[in-house]
Amino acid sequence: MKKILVVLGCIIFILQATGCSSAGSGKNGNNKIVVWTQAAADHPEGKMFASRVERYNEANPDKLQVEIQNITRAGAGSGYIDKLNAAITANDMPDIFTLDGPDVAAYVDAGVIGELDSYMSNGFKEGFTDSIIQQGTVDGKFYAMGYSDSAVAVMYNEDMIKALPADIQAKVPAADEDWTWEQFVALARDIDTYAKSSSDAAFADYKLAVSTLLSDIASGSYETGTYYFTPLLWGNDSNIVAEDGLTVDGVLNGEKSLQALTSYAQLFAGDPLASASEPEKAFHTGKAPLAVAGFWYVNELKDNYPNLKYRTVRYPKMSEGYSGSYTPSGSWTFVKSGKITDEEKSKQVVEVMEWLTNDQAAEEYYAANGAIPSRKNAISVINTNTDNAYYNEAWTVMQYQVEKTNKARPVSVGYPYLSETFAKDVLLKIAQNQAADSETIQKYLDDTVKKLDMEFAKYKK
Amino acid sequence: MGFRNRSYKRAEVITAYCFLFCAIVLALLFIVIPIGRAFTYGFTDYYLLKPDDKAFIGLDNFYRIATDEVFLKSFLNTLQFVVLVVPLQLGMALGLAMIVSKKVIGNAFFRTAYFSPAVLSLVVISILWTVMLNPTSGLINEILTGLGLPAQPFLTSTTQAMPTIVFISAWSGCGYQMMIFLAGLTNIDKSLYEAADIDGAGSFKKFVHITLPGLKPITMFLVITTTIQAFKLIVQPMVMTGGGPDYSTMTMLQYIYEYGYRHRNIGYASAITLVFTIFLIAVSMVIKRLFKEEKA
Repeated sequence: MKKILVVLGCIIFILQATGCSSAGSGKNGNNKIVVWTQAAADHPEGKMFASRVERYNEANPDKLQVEIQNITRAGAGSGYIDKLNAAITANDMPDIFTLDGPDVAAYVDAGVIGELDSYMSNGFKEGFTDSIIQQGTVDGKFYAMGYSDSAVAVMYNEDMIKALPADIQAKVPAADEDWTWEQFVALARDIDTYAKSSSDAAFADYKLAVSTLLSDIASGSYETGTYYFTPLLWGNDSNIVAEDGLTVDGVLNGEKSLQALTSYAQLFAGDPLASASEPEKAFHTGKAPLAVAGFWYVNELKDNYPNLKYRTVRYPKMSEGYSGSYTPSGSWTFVKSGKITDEEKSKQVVEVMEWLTNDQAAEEYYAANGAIPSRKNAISVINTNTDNAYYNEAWTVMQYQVEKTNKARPVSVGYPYLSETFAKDVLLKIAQNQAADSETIQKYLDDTVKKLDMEFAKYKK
Repeated sequence: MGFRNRSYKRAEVITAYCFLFCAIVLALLFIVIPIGRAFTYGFTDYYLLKPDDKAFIGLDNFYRIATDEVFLKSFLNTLQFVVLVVPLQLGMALGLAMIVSKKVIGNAFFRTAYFSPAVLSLVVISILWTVMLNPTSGLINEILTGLGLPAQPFLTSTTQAMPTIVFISAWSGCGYQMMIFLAGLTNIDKSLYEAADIDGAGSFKKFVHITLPGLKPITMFLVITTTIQAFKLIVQPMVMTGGGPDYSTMTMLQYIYEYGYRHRNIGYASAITLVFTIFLIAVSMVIKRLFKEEKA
């Protein structure tokens, strides 16, 4: 009898272990509001969400209490997204969850996230920066509240640049000047030529001219590539997909995209200036004098590489005459489950989302994590008057881009595939094959368009 | 024959059925139901985010497989990996087993050292090798250039990436098989070697005519298990190359994962799974047949 009980116990354990855990709307009912985030509990981002939620619960003891659950993402967000997708399949979604901005449209199309306009406080949406509103809007409706914005600029190693001949130094723009991609590549080429023939101590560790983080694409973080380099197409009045989010033929493989990507490819022509397998922290450790650098570099350099003298200049524009927005932006957002049927709960869920993304929250996130505020009123909280001139300059440049030139990534139901295919089959392929001629790049683009069209056919039905 | 005549106590019968039930539940949960689901989903346009909106699309997914260049590439990559890694890994394992079977000083240390990669996580191994093989700053190229040899692109080259992964996989897996070969070597009757010595046989002849035949059953077992394991390659390319460059290291399992989860196209991923499962069943049957012939 004992054995039988043990066996039955095992079976029950297995069945429980293979079943789905309860988390979301399906089983929460109206007892609590569950929030899922990809931020680890011990990460500054996770801590700040926990702190906001705790204060909300304390201030609203009579309302539904909010419970935050941290499902740490791996690499490109896979662990978290896999669990979220499984929860959607099992109709067991949390009430509020985080999503990367460009993914919002796909979840809207699937009907799993709900619109926010009818529940939001007056004027709350307008408080977000323009690119965050763009990123969260699908077919004219607002679905996602970005809790931070982002920016990408170019950084250079001051010691290495100072060691260059004056004529090369003169090619480096000022922090408040626009410059073009062509000028950027020309500068990188001059640095590379000099570094390879110089015995100057500043170039003792020199490995490559530009750090681009393309190695992230090679290891599966495809979005980094799209985030960093789609702006080259924007700056040439083009894009990776048309406004409808699904038409790629004639856009991605169009003349202007080809021009932009042929210019991008000059980084890898001849003696390559950048590499898809660059050393880890190449810019931080003096192996690369230039870097296409995300906003997170600023705090990383301040905290972990305090001796590195770096300067920051604007993200290069592909075409000098282009006057629209063109710099990288966007980040993760909070969205509301589309499965909540109770109106009162919906109202409170949106109230919680506002609490997690309002001006005060944005200021706190900046203080805790160096996250660029997603709220117009909070951008001024970025401190550009510290005693660290490098830090001040970097934030000044990024603040300018957030306010003046940032543009949201395309809104497309097929975005994850679009982004991955573009990063892998175009950006990475150009880098790895050192393809610099327009015929080869055109072929890459045509092949990519063919693949995308095949995959997007299901959305066009 | 005695089993048939033997009568079991009721409690024994119940216990036996309970254990059988347990195995059946596991098989149903993790083998039969998933294969059945993959079979039905393979004929639908199941999109992960719209689980309630599946439509039957006939053979569309299978037609797509027939024209999918990346599928073909992934399939050939997987085959290439299996064909290369099985003999290399078993050869390395046998070689190491022969070395550590000698009674020399430091033998225990070498056994542990050779076996240690087998207990390390594949993810850890993959990350370590990725750092060491970095073309611009990796240790391996530092050594090569230090010796006056040209630096190699390794994982960033379409021609070198797969052989590199094959080598790393063989290195990380051969320690475990070394231990099994070692057990086999100790079971070979020592008198056979003594007789061969008296007959004047050299080391090579003894290896070919005594050692290899003595290890045949073990070798067959290892060929089967290593082949099956090799078809399941996913961690190393996923961590080290992401399936690149230019899909040169994309394997079937990674392709299925990418389509199912990253691209959320469960219908197409299921169709690929089905095709690959049928292929694996065919391979298993061939191996089983060979094994039977060998036993006969």
